[in-house]
Amino acid sequence: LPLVICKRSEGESIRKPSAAARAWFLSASREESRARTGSGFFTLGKIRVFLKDSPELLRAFLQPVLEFWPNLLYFREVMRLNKNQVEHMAFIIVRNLTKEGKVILEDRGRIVESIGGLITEDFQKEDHLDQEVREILSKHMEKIRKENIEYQTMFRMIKTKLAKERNIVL
Amino acid sequence: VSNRLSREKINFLSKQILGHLTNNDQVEFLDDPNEIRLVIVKAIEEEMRLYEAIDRKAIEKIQSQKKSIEEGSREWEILYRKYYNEELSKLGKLTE
Repeated sequence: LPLVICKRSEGESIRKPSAAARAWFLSASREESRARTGSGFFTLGKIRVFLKDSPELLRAFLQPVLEFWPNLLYFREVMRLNKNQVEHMAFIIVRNLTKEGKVILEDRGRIVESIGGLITEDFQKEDHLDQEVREILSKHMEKIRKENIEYQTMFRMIKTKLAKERNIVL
Repeated sequence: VSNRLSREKINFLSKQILGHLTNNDQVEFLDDPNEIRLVIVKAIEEEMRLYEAIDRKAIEKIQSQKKSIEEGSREWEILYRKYYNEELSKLGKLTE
């Protein structure tokens, strides 16, 4: 369910979270699961159960894990197009232009490649921006949790502001 | 069209690509530049629809398994990637 909600409501193109954020999340969840059940395998449902019957101290630890889960799904699910998909897109653009008699090309392969490069370059700019926003937010995670601020809303606000300042179209 | 690329982004990319083609000596335009840009927009939209369909198919395949697989579990993720890539590979080689 979080996957669907995040995907439909956000619509941003984001790659995976940073390796450090992912590693922290995975190790914290495994550790907790191993301590409780003897198995390092964990699921969202399991964490919810843990949260319900945990002492106060543990709950404080589990809550961020639970909050981070939708972000993890979100990052994975709306991953930007991969290299093959960008190449395919560039190919289809050129194919349609020639098929519809809009252009004549001398070296089709090279033009497909250059269009793919152009698209990739634009996506990379946005990727770097995403990374920067995540880093900014990671410095304020404590405040975000304490004041119950929604991570994705904050993410979008900062990203939109920075994109505007830098003329990046989202 | 897609929740992956906004309308603004598609328009922006189409203008970038048009500008790139305009400055390329190996390309000759046979129509009005804006008509050419619109073909580019349509091609991008077509692609995004294709990837959304692939995404849906991969999810449906997981849901159709006899065993219930929880979304977010490692197994779900592995299967999603597997099915998504299988569907992608059906797109065929780019040799037309």
